[in-house]
Amino acid sequence: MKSRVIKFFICFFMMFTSCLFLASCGDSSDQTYRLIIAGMTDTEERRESIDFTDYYYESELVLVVRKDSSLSDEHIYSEEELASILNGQNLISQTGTITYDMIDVFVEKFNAKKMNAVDSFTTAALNVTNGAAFGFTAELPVAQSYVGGNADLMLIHIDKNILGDLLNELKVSIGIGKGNDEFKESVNSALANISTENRNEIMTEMVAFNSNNNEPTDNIQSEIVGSNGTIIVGLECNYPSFNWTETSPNNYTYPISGLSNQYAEGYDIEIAKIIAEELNMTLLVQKMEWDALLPWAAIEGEASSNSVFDIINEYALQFGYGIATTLFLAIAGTLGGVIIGLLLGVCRTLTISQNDNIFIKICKKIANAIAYIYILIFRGTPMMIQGMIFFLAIPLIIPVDWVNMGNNVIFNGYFYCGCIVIILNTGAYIGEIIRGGISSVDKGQLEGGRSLGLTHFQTMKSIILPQALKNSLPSIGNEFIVNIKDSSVLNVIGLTELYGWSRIIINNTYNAIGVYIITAVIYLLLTFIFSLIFKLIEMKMNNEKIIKRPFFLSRHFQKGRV
Amino acid sequence: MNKELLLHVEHLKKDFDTTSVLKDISLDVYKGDIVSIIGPSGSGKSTFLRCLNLLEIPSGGDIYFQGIGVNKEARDQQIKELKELIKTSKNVEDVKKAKQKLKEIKTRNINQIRRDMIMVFQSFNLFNNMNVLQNVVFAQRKILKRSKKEAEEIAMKCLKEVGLEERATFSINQISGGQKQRVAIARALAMNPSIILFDEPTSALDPVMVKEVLDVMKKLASEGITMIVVTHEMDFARNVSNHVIFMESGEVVEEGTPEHIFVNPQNEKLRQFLKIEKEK
Repeated sequence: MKSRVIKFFICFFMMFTSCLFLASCGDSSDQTYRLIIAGMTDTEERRESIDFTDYYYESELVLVVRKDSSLSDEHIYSEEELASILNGQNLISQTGTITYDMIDVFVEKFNAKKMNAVDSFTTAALNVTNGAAFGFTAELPVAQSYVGGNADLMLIHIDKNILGDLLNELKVSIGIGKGNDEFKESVNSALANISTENRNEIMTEMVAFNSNNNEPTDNIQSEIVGSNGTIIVGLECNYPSFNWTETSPNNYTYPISGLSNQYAEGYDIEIAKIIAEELNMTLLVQKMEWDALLPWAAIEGEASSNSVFDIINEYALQFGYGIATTLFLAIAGTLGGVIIGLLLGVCRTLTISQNDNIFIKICKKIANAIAYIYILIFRGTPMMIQGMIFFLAIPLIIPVDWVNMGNNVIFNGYFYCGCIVIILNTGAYIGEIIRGGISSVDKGQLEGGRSLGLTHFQTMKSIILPQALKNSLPSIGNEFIVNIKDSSVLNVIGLTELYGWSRIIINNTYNAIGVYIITAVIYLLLTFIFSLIFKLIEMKMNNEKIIKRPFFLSRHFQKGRV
Repeated sequence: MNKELLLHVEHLKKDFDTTSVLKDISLDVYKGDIVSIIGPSGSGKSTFLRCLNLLEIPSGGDIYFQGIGVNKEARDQQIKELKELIKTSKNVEDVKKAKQKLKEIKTRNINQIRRDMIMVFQSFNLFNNMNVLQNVVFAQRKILKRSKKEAEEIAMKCLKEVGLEERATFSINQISGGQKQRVAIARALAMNPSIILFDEPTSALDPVMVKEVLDVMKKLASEGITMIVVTHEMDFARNVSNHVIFMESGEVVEEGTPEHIFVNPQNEKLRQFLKIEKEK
């Protein structure tokens, strides 16, 4: 056992250092500049890693609400009006956006309630249409594209001054690696040539273009090549109006490097084209995840270190919350799952004897059928979808408010909902495991019990189930370990477990690769520790002595030797 | 002397899909009888025994235990006849008796019958998750509702009877095959059954263990316990039992006292069978 642990840590250490090495590699080509044109705002924290140019668009914060809220989209709502409209109402937005943070202003000034952030604006819109939220906050172009595509939604304008200093955050700038001040100034002068009127025109065009399903045109944008060097523009292609992907080229699209048949389109691309043409440089476009943008741009510049060890130090408490939530979910899921699994396993192994009257026969058949269907559904659909359906549909049947149930960091409505989902899901898997466990018990045990005059249930309870559980324990332990990892999918309903916390930490530190590596290592440690614990329990149960053996030989070969 | 009729089997039949394993078996067992069933493999001996306590459901025929129907058809028939009698009879005594019998049939369901006709298996079928004493105690507490103290006392007595009182705390995987079978016998004895059914009790044991178990069975026989034994041990059949049945291909080919079967076998098939057994 000891040698196994040591070998594990050696492997782990090697993996870790090679990851760090890879993460620090950058490429070095001359006269190539990396720009982030992705609707990103200039903030103090981001300035720790990169620099920003002047702003290339100023956005407006609006509220998207249901049409039946009898508000007007032609009116600019004042502070007094909003105080009565938003009093006590739930507001939501996408995680990691400035529009989500701006909800705090509404909470402070108008007594609104801030819901947990969701992974996308689409989910936010869903929360509004089904009534979980009164409205979602978004920037004007995003709001316009959602209102355009959904007949139930409308947007309302608010008095700009409500936001005060936060207005600066609605301005989006171009991110550039540190130490490129000269180039930064060229970009700024190129931007200065695009008037505010011009900018708004382009944005309106893009919103209209995005809302309609456009057919491919003959007039296809050709690639821009220049002689002064290369600009590589990094964007996410998931921020409608600013940037999105298209599979058929038209006169607005620009090909994405490294991907065939995918083109980037949007306001950001239009600005990128204007800058490249103005500065006579070759334009390349690269698509990547939001969290990857900063590290990517910072690679060439002088980025300040936000190393892995700093992060662990500073965010230890948050990682702790994540670990605790994940473990609670896994434990609750497995224990609850065993209880449900026992019921299911017994129902699936009921036998119909000659002596049962017709009523009991029907009951047994129904119980078997219900168990079969339950297992079929919960094993046949992904837990992610089960979570979403449960979270959204239950409030329609029972008056339950997941959002406002408890204020605890860990134990809140989202957590309780997630617990129920993971219990129901795990129950199905364990039901099958226990059914297998019961079948694997020697049939003679049941015969022996019945021939003494015991009833089916008496034999099951005292003789078969104890043995079946003992046989099933390794598989149940495995389910527990799988649950530790699978609990991460419940993040989609807004439940922050370890993965959820890692996303939050990334938004605060912008070192996506580092945080993900830390999270992966934590998951690995959790699963490894628990698999050791289960091995020990198994060995104790079978009264095996703990013998030394070569690392790579499986236990199977050693069992015969004493 | 009027011996009490415990078990009455008429025209028992059992079919598995298309094959007919039992063709037409009839048997009467009285209190104190030691019945041995012998015959070649596949003759339906075990199937017959397992039909008696409904571990197999017969396809035809009836089984009556202490006057009460065991299989569904027999019971239904009995209930029907008794209800008929209650409705039509003028005799008050008869009606009273019939009502009593009806009540008895309804309460003595298959579980009740099984605890009075306990089976000892070839593969022992002891409860692997309990130790020796618990195995003998369990059914007493659950079915006979005896107190813990009483059940344990009786269990120790039965274990003593089979010679295993020192192994009471051992777990099942710590004892030998012969000991396991003796525990199974003790488990059966603790329930005070009217009949004990033995399904090839020694077929899975080596010669030394066979003797162990047969000695216990002989002892029980001498104490007057009614037994039906399916066996290949000819010595037991010859010397201990008082009624021997020879089965082949699902039929009773010959039956009678041990003298009739072993000393003067008439039937050709029986003679062949005994010759082969003797040469073993």
